Amino acid sequence: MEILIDTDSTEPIFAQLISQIKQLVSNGNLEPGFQLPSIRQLAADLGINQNTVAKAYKLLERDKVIIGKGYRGTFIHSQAQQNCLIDYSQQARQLMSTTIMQLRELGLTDSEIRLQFAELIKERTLTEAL
Amino acid sequence: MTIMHIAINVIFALQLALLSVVLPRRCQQHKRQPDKRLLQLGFTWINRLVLLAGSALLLAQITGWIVFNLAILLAFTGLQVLLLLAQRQWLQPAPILPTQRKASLQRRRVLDYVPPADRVMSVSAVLVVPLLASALAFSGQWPMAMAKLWQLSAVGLLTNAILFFAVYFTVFRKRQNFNDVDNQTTLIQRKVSQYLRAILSFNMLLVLILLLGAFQTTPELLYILLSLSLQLMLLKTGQRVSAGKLAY
Repeated sequence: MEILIDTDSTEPIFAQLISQIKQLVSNGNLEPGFQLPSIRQLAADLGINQNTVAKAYKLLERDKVIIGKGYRGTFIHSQAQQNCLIDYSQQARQLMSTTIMQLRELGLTDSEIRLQFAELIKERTLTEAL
Repeated sequence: MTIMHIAINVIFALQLALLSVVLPRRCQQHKRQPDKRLLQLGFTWINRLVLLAGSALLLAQITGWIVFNLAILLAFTGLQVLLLLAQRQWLQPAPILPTQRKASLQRRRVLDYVPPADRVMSVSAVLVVPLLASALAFSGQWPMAMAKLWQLSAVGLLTNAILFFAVYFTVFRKRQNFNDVDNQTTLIQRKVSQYLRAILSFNMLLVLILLLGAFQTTPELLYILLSLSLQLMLLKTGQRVSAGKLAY
């Protein structure tokens, strides 16, 4: 089981890692309970920053494709194969399109909607940082 | 001047040539080092100074200008080894990072690279020094000061810890080769077995020192043994595994 990244690609490295791990899980190459390499090992092997691998692992954990068990390591989730099919970006698109439609019905212009979204994201980021 | 002193001076001269001329030159002759000219120049001058100082020390000892002192020779050897290690570390060529990189998703463990027989031998080698030191201390066979015995054991433990850390670091270090996962595994295996051999040799040397001490052998003989083993070890680790793939 190998993973291949291309630093010349327009796709971010963390996204390449996520898509390839999901691909391997969907194909059945990575079975539930399989122990993944540590963040440090994968980053050293690929010659990339540890934060990039950590970000990929964090997002995979959020999607319940992998599960972190503290010092014991990171493992493939028991429901990983089903969870790989869940497309969070598609869900986000649906939710946002409904909200945009409602806001347009209220009479808000596109630039006002963009501004509101930008401010909300900024506020959330500041609140989470505190 | 006794035969022992002549032997020590010959070995010191040999060590001077090897550690300050031959091995540093090997470090600097790597093909991929165009960006380290200043560092190379600095090390060249430091090596020349060390060689000059060592030659002066040797001459002063031969002519009788200074009293023969083993502690100075040992300190000088330590300095040479440290300098050589610094050169091997800093003059190492940076790995070429290709745009496409492969990695295995198999989790690595240090123990995967150490065969069971080597595990047993390494652990035994590490334990044999404190056990022998304790046996010598409790049986009253150690003729010198007890502090020396414990200092030797402490140095042994510290060096073993450093060597074990080096094994760990080898397994998880940044790779030099990003496109051949199997070749990488072989390189790690080779390097780990080198360190394990170093652990075994070092502990055997400590055992020898302890036994020589117990039989009240002169420290000069210890220096000869130490210097010769060190030179052999450094010469062996200085050989390149394959040109361009693994540094030194």
